[in-house]
Amino acid sequence: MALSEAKKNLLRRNWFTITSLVSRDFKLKYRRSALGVAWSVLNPLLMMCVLAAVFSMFLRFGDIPNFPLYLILGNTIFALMADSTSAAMYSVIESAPLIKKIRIDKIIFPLEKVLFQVVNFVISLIAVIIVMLVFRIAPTPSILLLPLLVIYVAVFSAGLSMALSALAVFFRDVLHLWSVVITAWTYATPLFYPITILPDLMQTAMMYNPMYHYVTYFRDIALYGTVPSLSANFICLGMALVSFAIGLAIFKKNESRFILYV
Amino acid sequence: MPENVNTTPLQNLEDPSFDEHSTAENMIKVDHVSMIFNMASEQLNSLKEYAIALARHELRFKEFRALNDVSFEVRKGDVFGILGTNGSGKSTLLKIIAGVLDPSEGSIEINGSIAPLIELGAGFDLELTARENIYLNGALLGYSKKFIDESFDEIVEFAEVKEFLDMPMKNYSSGMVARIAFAIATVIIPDILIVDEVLSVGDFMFQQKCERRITKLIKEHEVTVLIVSHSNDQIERLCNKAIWIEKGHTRMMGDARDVCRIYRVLGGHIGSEKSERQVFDMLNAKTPIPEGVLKTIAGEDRYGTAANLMEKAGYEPGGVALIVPGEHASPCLMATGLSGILDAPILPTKAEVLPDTISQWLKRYAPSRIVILGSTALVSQKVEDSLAVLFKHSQIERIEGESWDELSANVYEFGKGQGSGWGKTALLTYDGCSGDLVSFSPLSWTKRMPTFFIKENGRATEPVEKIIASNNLNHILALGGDCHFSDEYLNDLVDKTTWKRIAGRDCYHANRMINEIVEETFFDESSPTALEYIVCTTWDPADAFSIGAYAGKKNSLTILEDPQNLDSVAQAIEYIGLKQNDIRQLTFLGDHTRFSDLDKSLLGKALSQTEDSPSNTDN
Repeated sequence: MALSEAKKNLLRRNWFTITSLVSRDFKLKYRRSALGVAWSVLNPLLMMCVLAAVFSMFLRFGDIPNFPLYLILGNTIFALMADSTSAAMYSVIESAPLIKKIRIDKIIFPLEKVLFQVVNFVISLIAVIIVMLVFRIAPTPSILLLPLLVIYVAVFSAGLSMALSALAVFFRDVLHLWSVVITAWTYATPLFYPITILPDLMQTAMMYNPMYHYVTYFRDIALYGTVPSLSANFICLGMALVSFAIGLAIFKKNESRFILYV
Repeated sequence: MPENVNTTPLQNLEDPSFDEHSTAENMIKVDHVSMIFNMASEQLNSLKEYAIALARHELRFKEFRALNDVSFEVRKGDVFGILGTNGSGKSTLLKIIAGVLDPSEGSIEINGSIAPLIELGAGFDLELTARENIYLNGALLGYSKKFIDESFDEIVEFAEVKEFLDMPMKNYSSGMVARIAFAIATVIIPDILIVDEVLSVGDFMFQQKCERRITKLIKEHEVTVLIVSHSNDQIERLCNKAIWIEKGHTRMMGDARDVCRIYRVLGGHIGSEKSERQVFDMLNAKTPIPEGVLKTIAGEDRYGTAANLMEKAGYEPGGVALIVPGEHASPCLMATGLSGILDAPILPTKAEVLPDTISQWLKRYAPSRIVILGSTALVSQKVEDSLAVLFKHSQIERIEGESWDELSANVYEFGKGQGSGWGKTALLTYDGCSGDLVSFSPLSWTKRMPTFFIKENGRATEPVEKIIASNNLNHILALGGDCHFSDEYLNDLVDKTTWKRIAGRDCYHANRMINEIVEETFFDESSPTALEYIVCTTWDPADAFSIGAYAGKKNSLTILEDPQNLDSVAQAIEYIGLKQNDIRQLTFLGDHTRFSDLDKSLLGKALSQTEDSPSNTDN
């Protein structure tokens, strides 16, 4: 598809705006904390220790080999979705002063939050590497598929983010509701239990949970060293695209009315 | 916001003749733009509210038209001003032009790049440093990284923040933030610059700097500029064309100077459409103002005005001086009669301190006797002491009285044996009837009328009732409608005397009625009216508190007017027109914040208007 010069310019402009905003968020997040960026690594590590302790001592769901790695993989990829949607949900409302005064592509705001979480995710991969080193799990070439997975999850999250940020403008209830949904979703996704402990019916239902596919994909390439099948890729991509398309449609349909409500 | 503000166009907007010979390229075309806000649904922020509103069928109610069919064109190189009172839709219009808001109806055509200076500093994050914010804000405004790199030094230099670049902006003063914001926004040379009230930020120096920058953009780069400002002067100085919008309706469009001139007198002022048309016609009338007829007596405050007024009244030095509490209208105005008896100037004072202007004048006047009206709560002992120090040889007396009715009775008792004594007619009124008392002051000075106040319950106090019932008075003039005190009460009160009620539709109407009475009793056949008329504003009559001591002495009459109320202006124009053969002088009381030069010239023109002159100038 040939882009006109003007379109290219606009894209370049928007990209610079997005990266500037990401760098702002980054600076604001770590400003005035002694450990700074290290928290992006420490946080998932500590979280993993807590969960590993809880679930291997008190609540055992059968024997999962390399349970700490199993945990951290699921948690980091889930956190990418959960954090980016939660942050993006507020993005349009928080940008009210800008929206009211500057002519700007409003879609920048949710997308920027997703991109910022992708950056965070990449940093938290260091934690994953540390766990792999500690438990002496060697990566296989299949780990090279990771960028693909990140794109799937980022696109999927971007779709949700656009929908949520648009809806939150009109109904602030969404802000309260979404944290409940995220909690429910955390438990409904096999992050710290194997899917096999679920009854058959729920296992079937799990096939409709996009996060289940992404978590499984991550474990396949990082923990089990297998290459996900073409159909698994197809499912992951399909779900991401559907989410993105719906989110984009909701956002585009409503963005001209944002200014009246923010 | 006054409700009855006119919104009809003052000219034929379809044919803006000022644009005909312009061949410059069209930069902005606003084509029949309307903006409608749905007030009801825009306030719903939760599902519950939404559901309730839906159930009540309130969702599509309460429409609000912020803009109503506004059209205009801005050509290249124009500096276009948008005038209007608060809430008239100026900012909405700018937002539509800036592309932030979509119009509900109509369309906008923009030709070129726009730099909006709408509320500067949107997107600043005060946690970040200035350096970081310059890049962030630049990015949000759509600049490229390369451009910001290149212009960075220029921005920093203009904003004068070099030493503080790496300090978080939350530690900046608001002026510094504004400087950075302005510097970033104007570093680019746009085709169209939109300026919304930004010139009101920062200190005086910076405002000038901003204005120079904008002027430079206009002069050197042929940038088209759109300016919204409350400051009429700024628009007049910077713009060549202007539009005046009132409550979303276009009222006038054309040469900036013309629009500003009209706006200054009519903008946001209340009044009927007819009155406004009258004032508008008079403004545009080419009628000459008779030379030397307009005079102003003003000081920097009410005390200064009073001092000047007493100076001009021409009291012989060494006489009596009346000191009145200048923070209240009623005691000042009730002193008029006493001033007539004693031939004494009336000098208002602050409760706690004698104003400088008053004490300066008093020194020149060197009173032999000083009479203070009101107890120490109204004029403190401190003031009395300082008077005693200033005028060691003068006799200082005080007429006590906390409330107005008490004070008015005491003033009467005080004046009884003095000088020529009280006249036979008394004024009876209520606290707040200042306009009528001002109107009456020339007469109450000459005829030495005592003024009595009734209480809020519609009755006078016993001492006042006794005075009125006594044989000394034979006529009572009641000022104010019967909502303040009833006819029955007056009939009961006055036994042997007669009474007459004077109540107008409003204080302007009453002013003309009272002037007629004054003329009847005051002037004889040879000169049926006064030569000098004193124009006082009613929205702050403080300048007129000692008017009696001037008007009575000079045989002048008063005209009440409120420049913000076009009905009163139109009435004043009419009234002056009727009296034009008699009036030799119009004296305006108060500085330019009371009457602008335009307000004065309006009444000046009224002096030489002919019967049909307003309609002649109607084009």
